[in-house]
Amino acid sequence: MNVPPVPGLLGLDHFEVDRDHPHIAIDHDVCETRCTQRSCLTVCPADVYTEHEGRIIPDTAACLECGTCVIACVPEALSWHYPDGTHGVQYRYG
Amino acid sequence: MTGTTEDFDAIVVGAGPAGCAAAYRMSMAGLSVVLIERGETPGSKNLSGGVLYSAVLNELIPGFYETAPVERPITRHTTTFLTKEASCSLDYRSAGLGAPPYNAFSVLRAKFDEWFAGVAEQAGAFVMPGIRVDEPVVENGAVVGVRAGDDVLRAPVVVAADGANSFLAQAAGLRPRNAPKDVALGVKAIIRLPRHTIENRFGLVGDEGAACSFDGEVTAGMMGGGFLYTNIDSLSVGLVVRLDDLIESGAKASQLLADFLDHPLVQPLLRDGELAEYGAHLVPESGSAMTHRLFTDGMVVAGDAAGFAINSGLVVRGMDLAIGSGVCAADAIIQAKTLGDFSAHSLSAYQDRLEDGFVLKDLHTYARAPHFLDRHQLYSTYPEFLTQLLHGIFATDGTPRQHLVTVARRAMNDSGLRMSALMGDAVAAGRSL
Ligand SMILES: Cc1cc2nc3c(=O)[nH]c(=O)nc-3n(C[C@H](O)[C@H](O)[C@H](O)COP(=O)(O)OP(=O)(O)OC[C@H]3O[C@@H](n4cnc5c(N)ncnc54)[C@H](O)[C@@H]3O)c2cc1C
Ligand code: SF4
Ligand code: SF4
Repeated sequence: MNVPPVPGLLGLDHFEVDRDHPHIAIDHDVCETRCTQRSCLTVCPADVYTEHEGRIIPDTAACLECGTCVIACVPEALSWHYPDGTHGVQYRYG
Repeated sequence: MTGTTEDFDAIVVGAGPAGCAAAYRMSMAGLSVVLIERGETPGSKNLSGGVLYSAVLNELIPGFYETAPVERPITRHTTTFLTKEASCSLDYRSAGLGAPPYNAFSVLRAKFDEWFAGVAEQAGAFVMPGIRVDEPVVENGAVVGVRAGDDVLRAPVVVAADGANSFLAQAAGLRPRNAPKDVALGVKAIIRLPRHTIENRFGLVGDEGAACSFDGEVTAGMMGGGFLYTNIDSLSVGLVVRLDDLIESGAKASQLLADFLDHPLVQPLLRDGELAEYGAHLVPESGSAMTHRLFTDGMVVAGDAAGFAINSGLVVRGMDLAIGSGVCAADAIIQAKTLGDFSAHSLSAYQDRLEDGFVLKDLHTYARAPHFLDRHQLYSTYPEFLTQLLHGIFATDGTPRQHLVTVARRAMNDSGLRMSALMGDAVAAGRSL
């Protein structure tokens, strides 16, 4: 089966995006001085993290809330919590 | 206890199978219970491969399958070893699996969890969806409730059934932050197909279902495996891969999934299907459960939050362990209430019940599996060996047939497998699977 790239896959899903309260924040000082692996760029199944001129930017709205990045990232670099109740991904099958 | 008035006898955080089972059981025993869920509806945040081994649920709610939104009773289990272009399968079928009380069902969690939470509600539980619990409230070393935003709810005991990440159990000091080796990442797609196509393609009669697992090429040699389960009019197709391996390899799970769905031997099973959903979720590794504390003053931890999952390479199991542990937690709390004592000492009855029942027994049985599954040749060399062996037996090229032993020896040489390693793995497999 021909599978579209990640943005196409995410387009199948339903999200209630909370633009006013992003649930992921990066401490760029820690991120840019202490991380050698930059695992967020590969482990995230939703490609939430991308690099722009050396800076990691999260596209919070695409997050599937799996928690993988929380485990892979340098602990002090990432502040991550579940979105406020009712926001975020809403599986219709699951 | 603090002398402050309590809102409920028990607070359950998380309306997955663990939380719903605990809330249902306690409500049936007359306790006042609140079941808090962050999803707008229970199940909307949850994702599973989808085969529920159902004996434990049938014991809790006899004949549950009459009303629950189950997809198909599973009557066929296959395990396939895949290389880039060949495959070798074991196929187990039994008509007995298709008759009540059944052995396993495929389920879709968005529907199933909503049903289960509804059953708990009918039994008397107060279900609060759309609320994210932020942290446990701890006073004098004991958990006395939870905080959600500006609100505090108080109860003498809290059940942390908040899933694989369990920020609640971490905040209460019951378990450390997950390390990459403690979890596997699962990614999954839903592919819609007409029900008759599914039945013809998988050789199923009526509403029967198939559960297929895949090892080898699926995870590009990393620890893990793929699955394909039949629902009524869709397929659940995905894979699970250990996070430490995934990080180290730099591979993307989404790409592994795309390659799996595009594999020449998987593709025909999906033909003309329509992608309907994509999702991701963590699975605790079987061994991690052994390292967690399961209770403290005023709190017990159940289901994935406690690390209760089995990921053996052949099966992923967690829903039945979640339900089983939810029931044990409920029974320990019901007992604690009659004693009026919710201290760690009193709640240790939870651990005793888990050890007496199937949950910890099964986890101990599979405890060696992670070490066995650490042997990377399982994911690359063996699939290569098996498919070459069968190629040697079945493929004809005009030369005279050779004796099976010769064919096997050649396949071993070609796959780089050594006899001593093979014997060692056979022994380890016998001990742990
Ligand atoms: C890809 C994949 C395939 C799998 N395949 C199978 C299979 O075939 N068979 C099987 O038996 N198991 C399978 N599992 C495992 C199974 O899904 C889990 O073991 C099971 O869901 C655990 O149930 P639970 O109730 O403990 O946790 P969950 O189902 O994760 O439920 C936790 C609940 O808590 C809620 N929650 C979390 N935090 C908060 C908070 N702060 N406030 C409020 N609510 C909160 C969540 O929204 C969720 O509803 C699979 C898992 C994955 C990822
Ligand atoms: S893994 Fe964490 S610390 Fe490293 S680059 Fe990504 S966000 Fe920064
Ligand atoms: S929680 Fe999962 S989907 Fe969301 S950003 Fe982290 S890794 Fe990506």
